[in-house]
Amino acid sequence: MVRPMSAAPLLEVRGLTVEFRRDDGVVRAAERLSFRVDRGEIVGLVGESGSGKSATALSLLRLVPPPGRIVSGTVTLEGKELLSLPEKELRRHRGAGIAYIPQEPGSALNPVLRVGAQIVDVVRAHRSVTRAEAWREATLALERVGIPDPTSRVREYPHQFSGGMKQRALIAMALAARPKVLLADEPTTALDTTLQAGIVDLLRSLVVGGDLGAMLIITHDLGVVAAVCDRVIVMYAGRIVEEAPVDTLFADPRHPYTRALIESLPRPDVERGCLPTISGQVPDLARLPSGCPFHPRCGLADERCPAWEPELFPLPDGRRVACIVEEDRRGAREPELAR
Amino acid sequence: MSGSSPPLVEVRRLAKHFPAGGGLFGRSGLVRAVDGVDLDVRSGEIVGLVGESGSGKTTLGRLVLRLIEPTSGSVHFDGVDVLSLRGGELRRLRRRMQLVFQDASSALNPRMKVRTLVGEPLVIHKISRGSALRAKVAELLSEVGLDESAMERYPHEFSGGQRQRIGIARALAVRPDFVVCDEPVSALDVSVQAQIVNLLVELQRRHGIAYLFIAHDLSVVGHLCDRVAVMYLGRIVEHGSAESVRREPLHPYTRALFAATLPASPDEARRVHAPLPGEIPSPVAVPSGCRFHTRCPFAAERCRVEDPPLREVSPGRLVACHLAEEIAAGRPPSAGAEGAVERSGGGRGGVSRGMPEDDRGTTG
Repeated sequence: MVRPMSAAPLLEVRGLTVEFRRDDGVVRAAERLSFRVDRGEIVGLVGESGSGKSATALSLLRLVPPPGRIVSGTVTLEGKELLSLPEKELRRHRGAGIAYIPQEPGSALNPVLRVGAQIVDVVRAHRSVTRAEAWREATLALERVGIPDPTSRVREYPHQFSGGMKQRALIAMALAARPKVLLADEPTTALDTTLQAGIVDLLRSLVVGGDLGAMLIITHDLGVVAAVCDRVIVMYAGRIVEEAPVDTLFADPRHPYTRALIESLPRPDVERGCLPTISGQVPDLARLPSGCPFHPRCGLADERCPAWEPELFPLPDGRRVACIVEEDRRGAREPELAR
Repeated sequence: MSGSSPPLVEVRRLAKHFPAGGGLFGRSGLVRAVDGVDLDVRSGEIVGLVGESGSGKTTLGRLVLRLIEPTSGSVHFDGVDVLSLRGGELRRLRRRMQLVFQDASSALNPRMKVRTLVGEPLVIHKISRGSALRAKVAELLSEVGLDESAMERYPHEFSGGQRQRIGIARALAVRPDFVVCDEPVSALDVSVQAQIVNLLVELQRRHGIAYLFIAHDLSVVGHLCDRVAVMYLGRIVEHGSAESVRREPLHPYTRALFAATLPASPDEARRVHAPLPGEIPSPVAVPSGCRFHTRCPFAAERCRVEDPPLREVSPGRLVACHLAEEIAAGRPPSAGAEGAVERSGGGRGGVSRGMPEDDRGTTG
């Protein structure tokens, strides 16, 4: 679903750069990232470990933990810039503006508080309602995320919830603040296959049903992306390497990294033991190769790549790809469309 | 794959019941982690073992290697009764069967150098020592795609994929005939997963090793395995060639597992099956009759009372379901919610594929 680019985006990130100070120097987990999330959209932020996707997500709420530091950039939600706000004011936007669902449902809930009480806290932090009213809202929130028998479960403790139920409770808690954008960090990773599909459907229904303005899903799982996202942003070594509508990305990936990633998914029709692989490994951010950080592992790399400072080339169909070789090929293929 | 030669590993009616509860609140019961399993692995074969967490697949893997003692049943390895062996005999047999862990970082002693980690099995089994040991370790490392310079480094200096390579080198050091791989790629990034899968296949081909490959990811199993066994609540509910199980899953649980698998592309995402209601019940309170009946869309009265045996429905295809033939023929006795469902609302906008989960039974 590609939406007209004219309307103001719900969430816009510009030039976001995040650094971490480590023993062996300063590394950049996010390097001048710019992207937008439109109303009604589910955007996937995809990458392998070390790609900087989680640091990027946390930075949107200025929650990146030390030694992480946002060096530059803006995050604009409905026209309001968040990163420059004083802490007290920003706190109002956390939850109500952008809500965050952390990675581990098991450790994200307070084990000694009833699940309902934790949702009540969220409700009352954002709206002045009576305690009784807040409990009613908590029950409704659990019902909305598909927890059976919400009136009794709202009084239970997290340990009485299974993994899938905990994940649903966390989503309910995030919704209780009535956020505009939901930021879900690996929402299915800790769950069994049989439960993943249910969570994926729930997330999609929240955006389609209008409970949420938009969603940004951080994941390494291309299956989640294929099942739920409208648009995909692929990250590698702290940079965006490709951005495309989900159908186009899977049907015709343009960046060599995206292509290799999709091809390396195990399939029964590939001869056993002959899965295409990406040679080498994800580079340590402290020892990034020069130029395009993917060039030592890239099958297309030529003599320019070690010296080419990556930039995202816009394609006519609203895609962006950070590959000089691909851009040349495209230019040769579609001369009238190339810049 | 013809049944002529005796299997390398032969598991019969194997069970492991752990005592449960008993603690603070005096509740007690039995966790039927593995509850009567028959399984064969032939020489050089890759058998996949799939199921949700709580299905007992990891316990079964440990039982086969006799890393834990079973409650009942038998395990034969190359004709030898593994459970009757003691001391030195067992140790000698262990040389031939090894384990690769899911989480290589916690399976490798962080204070040992790679040289020691990979060499240790060779020393324990008195295979080599001194300069021969060093040469052997270097050879093993190169076989799993690591440089000789890795020898003097510690596990934390490596990435997850490299640590898994070290774990594999360690398992292969004694040239086993059989390796249990317990979710060896689940914790790895996509691009690294493919590398490790290819490595396992290469080593299997070169040395003729048989694997029991425990996984929850059906796409990895479909790519890698000759045969697949599907486990549910301590039992094998379906068994057959990987190809046939993928093309025509017979047990409703297997069908649900495939249906729940997230798609490899957005095209596939548009056609999905009805999901599995509920979550896996607690192995302390195994349902009566067919243990899957509480979640089965086809369950009939008979399923609630009569435990279905694992029976051969066609050569090499085994299934533990009273209704397998009817379901396969497309006329299940009860009109369930199963079958391919086009998601409504255009594209992937449709939602709510069926019943909410109810997992009251899994807690407490």
